[in-house]
Amino acid sequence: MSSGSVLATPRTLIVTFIEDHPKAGMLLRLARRRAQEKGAKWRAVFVETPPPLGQLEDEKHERLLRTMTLAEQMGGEVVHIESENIEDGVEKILEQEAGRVSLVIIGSVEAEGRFGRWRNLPWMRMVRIASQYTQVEVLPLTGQHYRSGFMERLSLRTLRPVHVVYALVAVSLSFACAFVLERELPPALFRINDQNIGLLFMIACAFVAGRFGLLPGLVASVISFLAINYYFTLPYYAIKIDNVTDLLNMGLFLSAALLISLFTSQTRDYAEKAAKREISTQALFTLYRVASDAFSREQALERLQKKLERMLGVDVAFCLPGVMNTDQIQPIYPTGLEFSESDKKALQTCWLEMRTTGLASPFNPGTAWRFEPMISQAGEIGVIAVRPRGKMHLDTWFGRLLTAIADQTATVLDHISLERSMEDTRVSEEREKLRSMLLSSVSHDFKTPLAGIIGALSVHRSLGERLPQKKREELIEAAIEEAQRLDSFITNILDMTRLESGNIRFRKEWHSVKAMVRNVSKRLQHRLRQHELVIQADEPDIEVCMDVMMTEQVLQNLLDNACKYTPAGTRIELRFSADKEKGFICEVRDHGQGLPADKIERAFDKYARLHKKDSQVAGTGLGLAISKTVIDAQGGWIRAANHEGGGAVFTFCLPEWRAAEALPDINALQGGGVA
Amino acid sequence: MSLRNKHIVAIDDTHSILTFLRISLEALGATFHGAATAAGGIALCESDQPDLVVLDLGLPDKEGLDILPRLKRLGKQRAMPVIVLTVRKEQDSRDAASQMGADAYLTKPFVMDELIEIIHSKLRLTRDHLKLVKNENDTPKVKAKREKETETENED
Repeated sequence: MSSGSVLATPRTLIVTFIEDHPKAGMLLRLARRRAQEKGAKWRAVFVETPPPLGQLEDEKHERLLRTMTLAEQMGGEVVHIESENIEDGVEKILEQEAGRVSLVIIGSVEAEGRFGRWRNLPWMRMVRIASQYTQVEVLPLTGQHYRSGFMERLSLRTLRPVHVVYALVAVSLSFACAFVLERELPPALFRINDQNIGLLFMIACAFVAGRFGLLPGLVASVISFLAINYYFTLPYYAIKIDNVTDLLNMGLFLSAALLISLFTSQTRDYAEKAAKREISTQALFTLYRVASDAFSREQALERLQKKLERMLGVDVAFCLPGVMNTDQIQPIYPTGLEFSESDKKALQTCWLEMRTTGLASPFNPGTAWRFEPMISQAGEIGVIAVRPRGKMHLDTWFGRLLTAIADQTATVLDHISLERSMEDTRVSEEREKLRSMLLSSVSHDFKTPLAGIIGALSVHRSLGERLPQKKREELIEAAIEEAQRLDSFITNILDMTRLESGNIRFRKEWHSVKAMVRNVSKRLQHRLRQHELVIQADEPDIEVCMDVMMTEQVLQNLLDNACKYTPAGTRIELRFSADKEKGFICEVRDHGQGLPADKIERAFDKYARLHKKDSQVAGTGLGLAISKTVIDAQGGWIRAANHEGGGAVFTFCLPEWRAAEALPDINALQGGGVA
Repeated sequence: MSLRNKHIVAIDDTHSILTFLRISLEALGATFHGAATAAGGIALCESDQPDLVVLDLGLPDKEGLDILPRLKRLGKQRAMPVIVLTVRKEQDSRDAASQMGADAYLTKPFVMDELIEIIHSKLRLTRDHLKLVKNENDTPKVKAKREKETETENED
């Protein structure tokens, strides 16, 4: 980063150079945030250069297009220029806006390949050019890691005192071996001499290098050389390198030991890398498996937090932004976790600037936790935090793994919320459909009786005086009948609403069945005119513990249905029985066509009738649904079936009944009779 | 204008509607028959040969629109108009009805005067139509006689 010269013109523009990187959205977000902070405008610039051969143009193009669309959606200005090379493009843009640009944001990527670190990447060239004009901020797109290499392996950080002790022990063992062999073996057999002493010590060096790494191996080889020179070469008990042979011996031994140490340590490194790769693959795979079948983000994060802790052997925390203030971020899982002040600061930086912060990273490195932002195609999701346990070293490998885990988690969470929002949309669409169907059904069912009322009254108005008295009465009767029907629809709808909202309270009291039947048949007098109502009762009269108003409504609905759905002139049977075990049972049998087999099960469904194109028989279709709710709420049951005599039979049962005082036979009360 | 000598059939499953149609149309001098089902309605049209049919769309045994073409065929000789009565307000439903051959479309609820007006206008159209067809085949003498008849009818 470098700062540009200060000019007199107000600097009100922030420019970011976008590229086809999958995470280019991060640049846009940072640009928008910086623009908000400074009250400036921001612009996303794409400099198109002639493409090198053999690139996947389509994929690149699509990614770019997506980034540009995102920039527009986020309120940025999008500029696309063509240029021979990237430097000229950057120069052109910054020249044009001479002095207005207050900040340039450039994304950096990690160099790939063995000599990547020495390559002059486009972003580096861009930074160099842009820094001549103004302030530049570099945002690493691939996470921030120290790059390991030969130098890291050599660096003192990996040589610990304990390794030197191991090297000394190994060399001492070789020395002891040589000493014993030289003393105890008869001189005629085999002697430790200049030719084989080196090999004996080489074993120790190779062991140390293989076990503890290159640096301890080198330490061991130096100690070995000194030991050989001191004890086993002439002059004994003195370190003396005074002729060419000694010098050559020393050179040969040291280079051999060095090579062996180098190769064995390399093998060790490869083995270690393979093991780490295995852990990474395993971690990412497990992560997907654990999280993808969760049904909510929260559940996925909760599961992941536990799983990752077990798998990586570190403390893991997921932090999510606040619902109201999305700039504020705090740990959510595990619950009850509190960060220290410095950790909080690092977390905030990580979230606001979308970069790796905390322990062993270039930003806020002194904290206990390491923070990695989780960003998906759809946007920033949150932050994943880890804290090593014990003396674990957060190396490059772990840094990369963490970035990969954060990316993967973001993708999985995206996936889950997408699925959930699709599900939500589906449910609300379904609900909306049902609602409009109910509404149209209700309005249809209101209009049919209204048509009867308005028609009859309009005839009365225009022809009233010319009509004989009997006809006039007939008209009024028709209007009243329809008005009553309308009233019962409204009652049903209100009942359903009240039942659904739980606002209805059942008042159970002992009531006479006979009285209930009398009330209902009186109310349905007109409707029952065209049918023959036959009442059969096993007991002369009984009393049932029920909410009489609601239960009367049930009986009325059942009888009303029987009238509606069966041809005029057929018989409707109303049967009562009472059993000690079963309870009070009421049955309404009609002699119509019966219920279609597929409708029997859904007869009590609130929307059972809604799926018809047009309700052929007037009624809200709620009657049976209400009946079921009412009977269920009183601890009874209600069923629909077809009987062998042809026709439907609806049966309901209420558990509590008792015999009433002897009264006249219930059959005397056939209010409906034959029309 | 009275509906004397006119025969009207209504097919509607709502009892009260049949009641007030019967009372008002009979009061105006028409002969009225009502049916509550599609099957009953077709039977009436076959046996009674009505001058006009009032048809509800949602019938218990069949869709009103399904029997409309059949009714029109039955009354083709008399150029019998069919008036559709329904609660469906949608344009789709209107279009479907007119495609099937409905002569008028009235949404429920309605005031009886509206229906009577439509019945009159449809019957007048039919009469004019039938006359036109007949006149084309008539000799001038018969034509003059018919014109005289028409004048007396209009005085009603």
